[in-house]
Amino acid sequence: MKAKAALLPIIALFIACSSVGERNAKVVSENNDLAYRLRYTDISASLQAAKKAYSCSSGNPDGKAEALNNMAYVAYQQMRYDQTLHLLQHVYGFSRNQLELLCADVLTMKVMQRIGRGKSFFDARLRAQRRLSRILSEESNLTERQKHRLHYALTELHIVASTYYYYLGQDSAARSEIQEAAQYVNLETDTTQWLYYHYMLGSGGLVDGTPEEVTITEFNHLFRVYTLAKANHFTYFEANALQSLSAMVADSIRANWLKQQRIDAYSYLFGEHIQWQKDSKLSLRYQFAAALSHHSIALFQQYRDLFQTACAMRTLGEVYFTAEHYDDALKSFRKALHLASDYRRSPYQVTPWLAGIHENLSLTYSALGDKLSADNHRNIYLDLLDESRQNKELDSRKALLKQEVHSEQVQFFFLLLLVVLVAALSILYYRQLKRRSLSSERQVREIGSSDDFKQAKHQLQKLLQESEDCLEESREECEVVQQRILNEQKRHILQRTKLSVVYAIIPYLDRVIAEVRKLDEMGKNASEHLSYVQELCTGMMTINDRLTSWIQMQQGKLGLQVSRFPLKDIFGVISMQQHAFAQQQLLLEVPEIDFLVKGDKALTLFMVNTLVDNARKFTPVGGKVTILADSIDDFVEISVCDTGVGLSQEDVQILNASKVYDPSRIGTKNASKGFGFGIMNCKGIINSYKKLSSLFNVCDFGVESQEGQGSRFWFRLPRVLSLLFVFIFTSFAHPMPQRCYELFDSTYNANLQGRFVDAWYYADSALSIVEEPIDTSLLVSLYNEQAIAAQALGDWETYRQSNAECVRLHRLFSTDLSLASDCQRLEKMNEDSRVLYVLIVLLLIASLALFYMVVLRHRLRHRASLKDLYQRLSSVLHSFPKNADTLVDELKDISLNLDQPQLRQPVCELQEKFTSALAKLQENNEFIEDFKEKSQKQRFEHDRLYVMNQILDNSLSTIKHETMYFPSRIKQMTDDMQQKGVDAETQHTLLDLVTYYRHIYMLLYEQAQRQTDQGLLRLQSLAIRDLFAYASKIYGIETHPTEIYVKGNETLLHMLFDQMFAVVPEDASLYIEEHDSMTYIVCHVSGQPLTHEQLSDLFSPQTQRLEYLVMRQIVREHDTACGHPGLRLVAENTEAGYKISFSLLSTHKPTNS
Amino acid sequence: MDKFKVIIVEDDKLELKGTQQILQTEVPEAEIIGTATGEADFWKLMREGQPDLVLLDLGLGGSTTVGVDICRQLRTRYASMKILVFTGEILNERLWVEVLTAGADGIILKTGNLLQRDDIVQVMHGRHLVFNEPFLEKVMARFRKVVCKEQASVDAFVEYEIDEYDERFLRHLALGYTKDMIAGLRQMPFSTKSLEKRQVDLTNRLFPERERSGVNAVRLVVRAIQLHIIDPENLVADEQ
Repeated sequence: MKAKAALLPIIALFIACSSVGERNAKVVSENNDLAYRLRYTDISASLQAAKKAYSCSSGNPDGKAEALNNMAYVAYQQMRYDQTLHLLQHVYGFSRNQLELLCADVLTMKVMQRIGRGKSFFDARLRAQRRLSRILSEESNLTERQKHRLHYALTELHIVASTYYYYLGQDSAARSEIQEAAQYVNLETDTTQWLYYHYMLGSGGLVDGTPEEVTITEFNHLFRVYTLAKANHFTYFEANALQSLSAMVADSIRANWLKQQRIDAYSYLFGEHIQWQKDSKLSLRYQFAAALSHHSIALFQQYRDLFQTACAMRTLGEVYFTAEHYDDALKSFRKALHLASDYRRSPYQVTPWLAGIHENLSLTYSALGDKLSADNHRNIYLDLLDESRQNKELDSRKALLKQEVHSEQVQFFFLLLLVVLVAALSILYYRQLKRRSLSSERQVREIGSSDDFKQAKHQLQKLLQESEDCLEESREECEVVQQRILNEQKRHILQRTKLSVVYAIIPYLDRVIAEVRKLDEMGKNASEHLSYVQELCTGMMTINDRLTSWIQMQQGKLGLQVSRFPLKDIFGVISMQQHAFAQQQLLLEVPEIDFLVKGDKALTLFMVNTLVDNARKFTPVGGKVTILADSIDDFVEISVCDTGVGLSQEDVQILNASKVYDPSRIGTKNASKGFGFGIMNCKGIINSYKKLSSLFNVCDFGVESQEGQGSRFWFRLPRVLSLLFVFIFTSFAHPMPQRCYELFDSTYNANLQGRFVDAWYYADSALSIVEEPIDTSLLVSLYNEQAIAAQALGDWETYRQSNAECVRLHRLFSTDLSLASDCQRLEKMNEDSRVLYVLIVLLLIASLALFYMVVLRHRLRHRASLKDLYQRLSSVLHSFPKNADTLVDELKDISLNLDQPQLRQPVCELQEKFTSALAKLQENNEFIEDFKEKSQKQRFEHDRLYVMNQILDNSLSTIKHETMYFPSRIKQMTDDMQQKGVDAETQHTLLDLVTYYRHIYMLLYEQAQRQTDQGLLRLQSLAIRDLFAYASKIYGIETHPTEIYVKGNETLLHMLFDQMFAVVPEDASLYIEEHDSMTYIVCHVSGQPLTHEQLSDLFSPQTQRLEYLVMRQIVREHDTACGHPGLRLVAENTEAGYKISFSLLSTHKPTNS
Repeated sequence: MDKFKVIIVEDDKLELKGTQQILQTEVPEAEIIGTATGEADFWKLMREGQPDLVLLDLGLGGSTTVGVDICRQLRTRYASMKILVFTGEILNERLWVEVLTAGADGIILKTGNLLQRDDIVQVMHGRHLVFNEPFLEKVMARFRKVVCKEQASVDAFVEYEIDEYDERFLRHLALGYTKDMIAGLRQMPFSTKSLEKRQVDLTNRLFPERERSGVNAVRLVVRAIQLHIIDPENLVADEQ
C-alpha cells in the first residue's frame, strides 16, 4: 500500500513532463532514438545524437535522462567507466522517471559486471527489480515508446544477469535468465536487441544439448547475427559474431562438426575471409580462424570500441596459442593487454578480463619456457581473481540484518510475554509471585536434570572414555616396547654367545706363543712341537669358520625398526664426512633433494655409510664420490657413484646374482680387499626388508661397474606416499582431511622446488581422496597447485580442467547468490516489525513501570538470589571440564554459603555425582602418566640394547674380518720350519707374528666386550610346571608334571627351550631330577645315541650348531646371576638314546604370586 | 721330588695334549694315570685309583664353572689331595676367589707362560696359593691399587692438615649426623658454633678458591671421600 502511495506522485510527474515543451520534446526524442539506433553501428554518431538531445532537453527531465543514459552507454563502450558512472549519477540525481532510472540501473549492472564488482552489481539489480515491480504495476499507462524502452531495459537486464551468471559458472541460472530475455525480443521493433540476444546465445554456454548440437546451434545463431548485422551495418555485432566464430573455428573438433553439417555457411565465411590472413606458417583452418579475428579487430577499431578490440585481439592470441605459435600468441596477448591498459589509471578496471589475459600470458610464457614471467603473470592472475571476490560486504550486511531481525523477534515476543504477565499479575498477584519463586526453587532442586548438568555429565563421560582409550593405548604401547626389548635381549644373548666363541681362540693362541718361545730349547723334539702348533692353528681355523658361518647366518634375521623418515636426515650425517674426504683429496657430493621413505633409519644410514666408505677406499686421489636420490614410480633409488678402480664383470655378476659368496674373493684383483663384506650386509638388509612385508617388494640392491672407470651401487626403498594410500584406504577414515593437508603441503613444496611431476602426482592423489564437504579453500588451493604443475609441464588439458575448477570454486566460494534477495527480504521484515515494535514498546513501558512500582520490586530480590544460585551452579557446570580440578570444591563452597538451607541437599547430591567420576578420571590419568613414563624408560632401554647389538654386529664382523688369515699364515710358517728346520730368525719372526695376532685379537675382543650388557640378569622364582607348559605348548614336547620351583629368568629359559628344540627332535620328553640344591631339567631323546665325538664337541666352540653354544651361554648367565658357580649343562648317552640336561638352583614357591 | 700320580681333567683335546706334553717334558716325576674330558669321566677315574695331584679345568663342556663344584667335593672327600685349577677365565676375578674358597691349592691362568715345572714342584711340596706368573701379575696390579689408595689417605692427612677432630667431624657428617648431634659426641669437645667454623675452615682447606662457593656439607663429605680422607667402606660412628 505504502509503495503504491509513493508511486502516485511520480507517475503524475511523469505524465506532466511529457506534455511540456512539445516541440523541443520531439527533437529530443528523435535524437535519443537516433542515438539508440546508432549505438551498435557508429559510436561517435550515436554520441553526437545523444549530446544534441541533451542540449535540447532543458525543461524535459525525461528526455534529458534518456540522453544522459545514451551518453553513458557510449562512455561504457569506450571503457570510460568512471565517466559512465558519473553520467548515471547525474541521472539518479535529478530524474524521477522510473523507466530511465531502470535503464540507468541496468547500465550500472553492465559496468559492475565488466569491472567485476559483484556487490555493486547486486545492489543495482536489487534497485532495478524494485523499480520494475512498480513500473509493471502501472504498465497499462505506458505509451508505445515507453513500452519499447521498457522492453529494451528488460532484455538488457536479463542478458547482463545471464552474462554475470555465466562468468560465475552458474550455467543453469545463466540459461534461465537468457530464457527470460527471449520474451521481450522482437526483430521487427528492435533489431539491436534481437541481435544482442542471438549473439549472446551464439557466444557460448547458454544452449542445451550434446556438444555437437550445441556447436551447430551456436553457429547458427552467430551466422544469423553476422549476416543480419553485416547487411544493416551493425558493426558491433558483426565484429562480435566474427570473434566468436573465430574461437569456434580454432577448435578442431567443433570446426569438423561445422564442416560436416554447415559446409555451406562455413565455406561462405571461409571464402570471404581467407585473404585476411597471409600467414602461410599456419594450417588452413588456423589461417581461417586468425582471419576471422583480424576482421573482427578491424571492425572494432573502425567502431572504436577499445575493450572489444582488446577482446578480439585476445581471441586472435588464443588462435595462435592453439596453433602452438606461441611467439605470435604472445604478441597478440601483449597488444590486447596494452589496449585494455590504456584505461588502467581509471579507478575502474575490467578486472575479470584482465585476470583472463594474464592467465593467457602466463600460459604462453610457460609454453615458451620463460618460467619466471609465467609465474609472474599467474600471480597477477590469482591476485585479480581474488580482487573480484565479492559479497563480503553483502555478507556482513545480511548477517547484521539477520541479527537485527532475530533480536527484534526475541524482543517482540519478550514484550508480548510481559504484556500477558502484566495482565495476569495484576489479577493473580500473590499466586503468581509464589509460583515464580517456587519455579526458581524447583529449577535449583532439579539442577540434576538441567542441560548444563547433562552436558557436563556428557563431557565427563567423554573424558572418562577418552582416558580409558588413552590408558589402553599406553598399555598396548608399553607391551609393544616390552616385546621389542625382549627381542633385543635375546639378540644380545646371541651376540654374547658369539663373543664367547671369539674368546675361545685366546687359550689356543697363548699355547701357540708358549710353544714357539720354547722352540729353540726343544732340539730334536721341535718337530713334534711344531705339529702341535699346527694342530692348534687348525683348531683356531675351525673356530673362525664356525664364527663366519654364524655371522653370515644372522644376515637374514636382522631386527628391523621400520619408520617413516626424510632422506635428508641421512644425507645430513653423511655430508659430515666431506671434510674427511677432502683430506684424502676426494670430493664427496651429497644431494640437497629430499624424499620421505620407509625403512630402518639406523640401517639405511649404515648402508649409505658402508657404500660411501667402500667408494672412498677404492677411489684414487682426485676422484669423486656422488650420492644420488631419484624418485621413480613408488620408490626412491639411492645410489653411490664413484670414479674409482671399479670391479670386474665377474665380480659384478657375483655381487648381483649370488646370495652367498666368499666376500674375500671379491675385488682380489685390486690391491686391497674387503669389498664384498659390506656389500653382503647391505644385500642382507634389503633381503630382510623383502621378507618383512610385501610393502617392501620394491626394495632392491644392485651394482653397476666398469673396470677402471668406477662403480655405482644402488638400493631402493619405498617412497612413503604409496604407504600413505594404504593407510588411508585401510585404516584411517577419520584423519582424511589431515592427509589432504599433508598432501597439499607436499604439492606446494614440490611446486616451489620445481618438482612438477611430483607436485602433479601429489595434487592428483589429494584430489582423489577429497570428498565434497571438505574445506573449499583447500580444494581451491589444490586445484591451483595442480594447475601450476600442469602449466609448467605443458599439459594444457589438465591445466584447463584444474584452472576451471579452481576459478569455479573460487567464485562459488566467495559468492552467495541468494544473498541479495535475502537482504531484500530481511530489510522488509525489519521495516514491518519496527513499527509494531515501537507500539508495543510504548505500551509496555507504561505497564511495566506500573507493575514494577506496585508489585515486583522487593519480590524480585528474593527471586534474584535464587536465580543467582542457579546461575552459579550452571556456570560451574558449564565451565566443565575446564574446572575439572576445582569443580568439587566450588560446589562445596556454594553449598556452605547457601541462604536457603532447604536447597543444600540438591547441591550436595550434585557434588557427590561428580566426586567419584572425577576420582576415577584422576586415577586413569595417573595410570596414563605411569605408563607413559614406563614406556619412555623402556624405549630408552630398548634403544640402548639395539645400538649395543648393532655395534656388536659390527665388532664381530671386524674381528672376524681383520684376524681371519692369521692362523693359516702361522700354519704356513710352521710348515716351512718343519721342512727347513728351526733357526733363531724364523722363530723370532713367528713369535712376532703370533704375539701381534694375540695383541690385535685381544684388543678387538675387549672392545667388543665393552659393548655387552654388564647388568646382572634379573632372576625370579619360576615354576617348572610353567616352563614345561611353554615347551609343550610351543613344541608339543611330552612333559612330566612337577611342583618344583627354580631360580631363573623366564625369557632366557624360554629362549633356551627354543634353542634346544631347534636341534633336538620333537618327540623328546622333559622331566626333572634333583641333586643337592640343584634341579636338573632333563630332555631325553630316544633313538640313536650320540657318538663319542659328538658328545665331547657338543658344547665346544667347534660344535656344528650355534644353538648348543647359546644354551651354554644362557646357563652361564644364570650361573653368574645366582652367585652359585657350578651350574651344569651336560649331554650324555643313555640306554635308549641320549639326554641333555641343565641345572638350575632350586628355590621355594614365591610367596606373593 | 718323588714320583707322583696325576689326573688331568680338560675338555679341550688340543689343550689336554699341550698339558700332557708339558708334564712329560718338564716334570718327568709325574705319572699321568688318567685324563678326563667331563665330570662323569673324572669321577669314574677317581673310583679306579687315587692320584696325588689333580690338574682341573674350570669349565667342562657346557658347564662352564663346574670346576668350582668338583674342587669343593674333592677337598671334602680327600683333604690332602693336591688340586691345581686351570682356567681360561682371565677376566673373571670373581671365579678365582670362588675356586680358592672351594679349596684349590693354586690357579694356573691359561695365558702367558702357562704351566711351569716350578708350579708343580711347589704344589707337591705342600705349598698353598701357587699361582703362575700371569695370575700373580694381575693380583699385583690389584694389590698396588689398594696400597696406593692407603698411601693417598696418609698423604691427604698431611697435605690438608687433617687432625683427628676433622676426621671425626667429616665421618659423622657422612653418616648423616647434624652438627648438634656431633657436638653431643663424647670425644668432640666443641660447640655447634665452633663446628660450623670448622666446616668453613675445612671447606677452605679442601677446595681451591674458585670452587668454594656453594659448598654444603654433602659436597664437603664427597670431597673428603675423593681425597681418601674418609673411607666409605669404613664408616662407623663413635660412641655417644
